[in-house]
Amino acid sequence: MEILLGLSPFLIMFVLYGVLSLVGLVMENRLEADLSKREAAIGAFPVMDLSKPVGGTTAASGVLVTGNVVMGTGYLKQFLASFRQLFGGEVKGFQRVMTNGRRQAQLRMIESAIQQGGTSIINVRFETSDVGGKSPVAEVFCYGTMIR
Amino acid sequence: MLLVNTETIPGYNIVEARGLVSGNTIRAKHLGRDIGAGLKNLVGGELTGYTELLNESRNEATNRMIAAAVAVQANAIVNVRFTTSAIAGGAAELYAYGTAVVVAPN
Repeated sequence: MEILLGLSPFLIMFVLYGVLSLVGLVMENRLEADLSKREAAIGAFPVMDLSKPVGGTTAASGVLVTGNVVMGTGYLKQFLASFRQLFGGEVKGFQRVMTNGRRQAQLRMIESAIQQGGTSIINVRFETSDVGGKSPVAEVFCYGTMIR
Repeated sequence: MLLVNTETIPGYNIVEARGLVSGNTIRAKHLGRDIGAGLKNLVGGELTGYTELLNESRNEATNRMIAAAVAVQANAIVNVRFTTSAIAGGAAELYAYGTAVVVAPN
């Protein structure tokens, strides 16, 4: 009993982390569902990283459009990744976070282009930077030139 | 002021190049936002406070670049590039640069 009491702060921490991680997983699934929904709503909007529109253009002008997102990995994934780093190999948890981050940033850029009446985006560039210091937090920034 | 990250602007001709213009800003994370983001990061996912912070800072850097272009009497900036770097834990530099040009509709 006394041992159990002595362990209780650790147990509480453990349970708290468990609950938070579960919430994180649910939120990640929701985010992916939301991204898929928005991607489907946009449909086939031409986005490319070529510096000129394919087949020339009669467009009136070009406008810079951007989208960004800062993604945190969460402590569970950070903890699991520290084990992965012992053996090497792909860190799937982080891979999922970064993929969702890129989709989100790109979607925000496209949505801003659609709002401004754009018909396509050319010369798209992605930039990823570490803004977290000690914890893995990364910004994904996406920009391109909108054609209308 | 027209801004594009392509070398040319559809529908316009570049008449004159006025040289490289740039703008930057270094932002420290706001303590309140830092605590909020720290709590959010227990769970993971988007840290909205930071998304907004970096967005505002990048706009600031872009505005400084535009001011530099206005100073050389340009009416457009082509081939705009952005870079971000983490400087000394907790501060990030946002940098925007491009070539200031004078354009005319064709």
